[in-house]
Amino acid sequence: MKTTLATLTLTSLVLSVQGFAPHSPSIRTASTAADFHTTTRLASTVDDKTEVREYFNTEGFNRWNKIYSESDEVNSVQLDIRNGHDQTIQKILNWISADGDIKGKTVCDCGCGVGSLAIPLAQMGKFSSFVYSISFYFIMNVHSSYHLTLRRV
Amino acid sequence: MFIHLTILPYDVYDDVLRLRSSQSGAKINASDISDSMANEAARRAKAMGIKNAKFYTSDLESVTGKYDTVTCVDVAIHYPSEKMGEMIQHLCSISKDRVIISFAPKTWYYVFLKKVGELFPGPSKTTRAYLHEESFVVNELKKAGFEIARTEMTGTSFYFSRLLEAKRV
Repeated sequence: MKTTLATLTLTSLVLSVQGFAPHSPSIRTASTAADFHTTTRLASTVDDKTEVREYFNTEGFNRWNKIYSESDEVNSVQLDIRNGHDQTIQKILNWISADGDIKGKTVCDCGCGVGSLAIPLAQMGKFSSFVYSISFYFIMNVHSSYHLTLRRV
Repeated sequence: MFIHLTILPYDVYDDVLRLRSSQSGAKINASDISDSMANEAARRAKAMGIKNAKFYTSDLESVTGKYDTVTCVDVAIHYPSEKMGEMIQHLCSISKDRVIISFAPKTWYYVFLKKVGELFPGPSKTTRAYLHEESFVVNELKKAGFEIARTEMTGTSFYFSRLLEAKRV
């Protein structure tokens, strides 16, 4: 039983790291001893960026688009990551709403992904207008019912 | 608002219209290195009738302008340590007031988890996930003239993210 648990945990760990970041075994090549340190470093940086871009335009897009949505096509690890990410987003939104109205402010979201922060942020200032419209229509209804009531009386 | 409207339904009609037009929300400038991601974000926003957000494709370093708040959430995991400082400096340079950044913290426990994960070969194995020292991130923010205002930590079973809010001093 203990072994099973341990295996499960280890499997999950592998899955977890897999969930986090892009992978591309083909791009990863071992550097030779002749490589200069700086050259390797530079190459690795370029690789990182290219790799991230390519990954999130293809396989990574499909994977993360599902994770950052309400799709059911996610495994338990991906679901866990979705929940974690949602919590981070919610904490940011809480900070911003605690500060008061965000309207008129400019926000730059770098690495917006599918918009999981940018979209609720964009809606934040708008929420009050929505509430106002609703109250307005609601009140107008109350008003007309008031007239109706009066007429009836 | 409710009571006011109830008593004076006609008089407030103009007020309501005025309030509605002024409630345009914040102005959001959102970018992603991936074209697919930025397009999907734009599609989602459009479907929700959002007009105050602009989505476009750009790598982080090429984002220019000045904004009240700059956010960079769960992106740093793709940045190698030696590029992280430069990246933070860039975020700060385009921020007038506040930077909100999250990263996977480099604690012994998370380093251990990552090592364990790396022991297992697999067709879908990941390689590039970078953890960052909190002291390093804080120091870079300070160097740019920012100081930490609020912090949060979110950890589920497979997701670890340290969240910092830094304000320009």
